[in-house]
Formats: sequence, structure tokens, C-alpha cells
Amino acid sequence: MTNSTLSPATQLNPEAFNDRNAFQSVLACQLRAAGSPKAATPAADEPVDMNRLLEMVNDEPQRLRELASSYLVEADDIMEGLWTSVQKADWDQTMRLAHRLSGTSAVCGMRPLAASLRELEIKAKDGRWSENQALLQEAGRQHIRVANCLRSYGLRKLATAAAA
Amino acid sequence: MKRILSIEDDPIISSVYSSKYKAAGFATSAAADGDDGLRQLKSFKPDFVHLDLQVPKLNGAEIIKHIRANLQRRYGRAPSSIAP
Repeated sequence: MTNSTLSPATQLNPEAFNDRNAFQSVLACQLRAAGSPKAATPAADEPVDMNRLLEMVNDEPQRLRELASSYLVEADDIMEGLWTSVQKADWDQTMRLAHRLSGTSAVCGMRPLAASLRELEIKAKDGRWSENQALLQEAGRQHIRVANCLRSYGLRKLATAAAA
Repeated sequence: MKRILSIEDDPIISSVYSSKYKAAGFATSAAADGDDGLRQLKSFKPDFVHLDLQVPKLNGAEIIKHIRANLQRRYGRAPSSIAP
């Protein structure tokens, strides 16, 4: 889902996130645009369950910005570490990193990414390089989906602006 | 006010749950590793412990053993543990 799926009235506007009602209406629009029949039951393969993410920040837009920004930074770092550990066949490190990002992703509602990392965590100990590399590639694909989804809400830009 | 100690090395998860606990009316404190967790078990005296089983320095299973072996005897009660 991108900004282009929104009606002109709800194109992402950083100011909109400063107002709870505007924020929630934009979010509702995003969910409708995604074809979600009911906000409470997002599709299982959606990269980010925004209802879950909002629940985790008590529906506070500022907290959402902070959490999304922190998550993107942490996920980027850990995914980079995972690529390095798989290249080096350092399976203990692969398991540790996959476990960490899987847990954070599950808490934040990034279910497909959490699931693919969980599979990598479980299978890393078998030490099959090609299989683990394939699992990491899938996790990398899901990571990109999550990042694109969050960026489509303008969260990273907003968080950067708020921090400046 | 009931107290919750979060022993969790992931800052995002720790922050998210601390925020939820505060919103629910709990006093919270956070430790990023097992050693700090043990220190805060003694100083903060939580009613509940949110415990990550894989934390640095002293893992969650060892912390639970410590809680059962020491805190019950010393304080007459032990905090309940939550391991999400």
C-alpha cells in the first residue's frame, strides 16, 4: 500500500499525525484501501498489523512515530547482522539475532516477518547454509515490506523531523 | 500502587510494555540484563516481573530460580513472573 492508494483528502500530511482524530481517520482510510473488511481483522499476510501497533502505543500518534522509527533502525541493524552471520556460517549469532528481531516484530504486529525469522531461528542450528540463506532471503523480503509499509505512513520522516 | 519490573534486553519491547503497564496504573521499572534485574528485584521489590527468558548475563530461568529460592524466604512473598 502506498500514498497513491489514498484519496487526495487523505494524502499523507505530517500535520495530520499531530491530531488524534485526523490520524485515526487516515488510518481507517488506509485500512479500507488495503481491502480490510474490518479494522479488527487485518489480512494475515499484511506486513504490519496497524491495529496491533496502535494498541501497543495506546493509540498515541507521538508514541507511534517513536516506536516505528526505533523499530526501523533496530530492524535495519539486525538484518544487516543476519546477512553477515549467515555469510560467515555463524549459526549461534544467526539464532540470537533472528530470535531478537522475531520477538520485537511479533510484539509490534509484523507477523509475516516475525514468522519467517522464527523459522530461521529454529533451522539455523541445523547449519544448512543454502537453506538458511533462502530463509534469510524470505525474511529480507518481509523486512522490505514492513519498511515500505511504515514509510508509506510517513512515520520515519515524521520521527526524524520530531527528533530534529 | 502495584509494581512491575521488566527484565528485557530489547529496548523496544521494554518501552512498549512499560508504557502499557503505566497506562494500566502500575509503577514500573526496567532492567536490561539479568544482573541488573536481580539488583532491582531487591531494591524495587516488584509485585510482578515481566521476564524475557533470553537476557544477557543471567538468563530468565536462572532469575526464576533466584526468585523462588531467595525472595519468598526473605520477604515473605515472591513476585509473580510473566514470560511473554
